[in-house]
Amino acid sequence: MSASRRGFLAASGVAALALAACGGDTERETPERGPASGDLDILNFALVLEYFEEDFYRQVLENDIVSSANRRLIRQIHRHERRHVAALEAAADKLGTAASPPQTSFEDVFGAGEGRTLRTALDFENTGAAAYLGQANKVRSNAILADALSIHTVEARHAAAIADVTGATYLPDGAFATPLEPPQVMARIRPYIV
Amino acid sequence: MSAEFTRGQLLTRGAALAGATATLAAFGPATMKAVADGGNVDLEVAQFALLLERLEADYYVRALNEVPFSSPSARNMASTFADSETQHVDALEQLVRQLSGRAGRAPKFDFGPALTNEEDFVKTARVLEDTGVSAYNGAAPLIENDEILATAGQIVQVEARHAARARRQAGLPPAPLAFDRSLTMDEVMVKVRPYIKKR
Repeated sequence: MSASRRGFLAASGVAALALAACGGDTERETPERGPASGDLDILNFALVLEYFEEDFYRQVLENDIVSSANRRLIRQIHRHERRHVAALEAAADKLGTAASPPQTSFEDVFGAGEGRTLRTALDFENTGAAAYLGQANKVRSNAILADALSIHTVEARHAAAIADVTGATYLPDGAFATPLEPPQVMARIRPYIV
Repeated sequence: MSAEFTRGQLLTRGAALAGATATLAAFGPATMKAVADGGNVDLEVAQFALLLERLEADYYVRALNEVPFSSPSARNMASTFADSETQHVDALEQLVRQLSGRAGRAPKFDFGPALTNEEDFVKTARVLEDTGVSAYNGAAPLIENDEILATAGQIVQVEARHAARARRQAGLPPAPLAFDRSLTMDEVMVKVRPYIKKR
């Protein structure tokens, strides 16, 4: 058995970052730092990212930013993010309290047009995939791990699909994807959080 | 939470090991023994992943020589995939040895008519990549060692990116589902076995 799997998860940073991102209560009580609360922190971290992505694509569609050629792809991705939000909210509620959605602002991105909007979408998807990759081996529950993995590869598919329409590379890290830790992830999305 | 098993507990469940042992018939006596001796599931997953990556690498390397490509985009895809899968094979051979297993040699693969024309090449590439994603997603929760799990994650993300690319090449939606399916190792072996040449 792997000792680290059972050891304490140093996830307090994850929870604090996730909560800070949504302007939530950072003085939330964390009575136990057991495995269940570690998994809850990871779920809420993922949930905040999914809220963020869902919000972004919803606004892209509402504001009619992308041309009809790409609208179908964006609509499909948006539907996926909505389902990821629902699944993660339900999973987080089972273990404790689900995080709340962050307040976002994408006006500058949308104002710069479709190209910039799609490049930003690509950045979000690459960041999302890397964020899941960074957390996967910290999850303790097998059921939650299986769910996280099934979302991780969908985020990767989104990234590759958007890379294709923007002319970017679909394998930005080569043959082995690079994980990102929560502080790096939050640094990438913080410019869009108000 | 109480209804769930932690990953450690899961490994002790008979079902997981029974499935694992059945799959091992494909890998030879050394691995069979490891599992019989109380189980080195990480080695078994590594051997399983190595077989899949060898299959994929062989497919794309041969495609570059054999498929009469007319579309540069399809040829580029084969070339990029050949490169990534070869790197995955190298990494997994190393991992198997680290786990005191024997990487052995790749079996001979038979891809039937898939490499005779571009359209069939793309179709089979799509199947292999989508299957690869489901295979890793299904096997990863069995992995005990956190570092090996991280490596599997690094590889499966690339498989998913390949799958999206191959699906677009085939004119299919790149991400058809909100949650990727997972397959058990046994289910994957049923799909893979037809490609392995009988001796």
